[in-house]
Amino acid sequence: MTMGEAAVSVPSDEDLLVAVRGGRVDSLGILVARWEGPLYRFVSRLVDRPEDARDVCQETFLRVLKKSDAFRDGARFSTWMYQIALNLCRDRARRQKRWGQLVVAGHSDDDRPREHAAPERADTHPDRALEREEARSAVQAALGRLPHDQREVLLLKEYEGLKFREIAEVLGVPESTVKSRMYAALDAMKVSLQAAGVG
Amino acid sequence: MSCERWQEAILGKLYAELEPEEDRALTSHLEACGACVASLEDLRRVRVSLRENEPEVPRLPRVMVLRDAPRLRPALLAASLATAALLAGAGAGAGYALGRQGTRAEKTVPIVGSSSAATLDPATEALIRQEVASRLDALRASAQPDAAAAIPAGVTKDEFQTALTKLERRMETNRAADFGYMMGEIEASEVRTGARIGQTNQALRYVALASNPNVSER
Repeated sequence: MTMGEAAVSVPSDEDLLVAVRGGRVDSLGILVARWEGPLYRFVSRLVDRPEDARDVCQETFLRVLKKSDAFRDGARFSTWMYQIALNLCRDRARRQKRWGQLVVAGHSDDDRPREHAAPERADTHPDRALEREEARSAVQAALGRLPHDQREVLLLKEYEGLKFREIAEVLGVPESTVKSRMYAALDAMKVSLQAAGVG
Repeated sequence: MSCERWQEAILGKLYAELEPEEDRALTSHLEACGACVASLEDLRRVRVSLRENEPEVPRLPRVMVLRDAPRLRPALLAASLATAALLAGAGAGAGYALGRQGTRAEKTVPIVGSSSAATLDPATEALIRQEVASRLDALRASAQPDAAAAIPAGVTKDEFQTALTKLERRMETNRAADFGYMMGEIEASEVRTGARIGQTNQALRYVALASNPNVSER
């Protein structure tokens, strides 16, 4: 390999994980930098509070580090990572059910999104800005009403852009099950959004 | 409502994941089925709404610190289980053995609540010793994880031991995770309380400044 080739080659996620497995912990830093945004976006829509999302993300990367040996050759890093995060979210949900929540989710000004959010539009007119805010709230509320298994599929497909085959791998279910959950989720969203006057 | 057998294909079309052959078949079906056409259009509109009104995401913590959760080590758990079993055994004989002074060969047994020591005849002491020993043995046997009686039929001792070790590990992991969860809850509570106090203080400062005639908005 020439110097020129070395300069332009970008290691894949899987290459970085192999490096992590070989003791190159700094490679994990690159993986974190690449994936913390998408992972945080996904997790924060599955759990109730930003603190929980932060904890799940931390724990996910920690497990990636600890269990890098368990990564199957030929698998995709992102699929594996989402799988870990999803299991952590489910564990957390079970614990919440058992122990309850000490702190109820609420939004202060500090929690308002500034990064990794949907792109801001130039809705400078107060009416349009209000409309958009209401539409977003309606989408968020409709997502929250979806059964958990449908919400997982919809988030992975619509906002994380995974293929149906990859989602099936993350969830450990047949692709046909993923599609039927997705269809049901979109159908339920259609009803909820129509009722809220969106779309 | 679309035809159920075409729902998967409609989704494939919606997300551009159809093989050319499937695409052709669906296109041909759509030419004849108004319900499926309507369904595809409906779902397209839902997708547009979802994209245009993507829910906001809370701000990502600027520094994501990797921290290890406190965990109990398996060895520590095994040691504590062994100690618990020993203590249970010891506890059963406590009525007899506690307060016993000197070596086992001594013939005096202190009586609880009495400052004087009573002397037992050798036959009674032998009986008590026998009773204590048999109860201790029974307790030890019941506390032994690999006691033959506890192993179900058709399971080898090794398999049983492995299963027991796995169970212990799972219990330990669950306990550590529960502990971590509760600590996280407390931490979250502290953070939110701190933030609320900060906001309240700030609001109070504004109120105080607003009521001061010598302070301008600048």
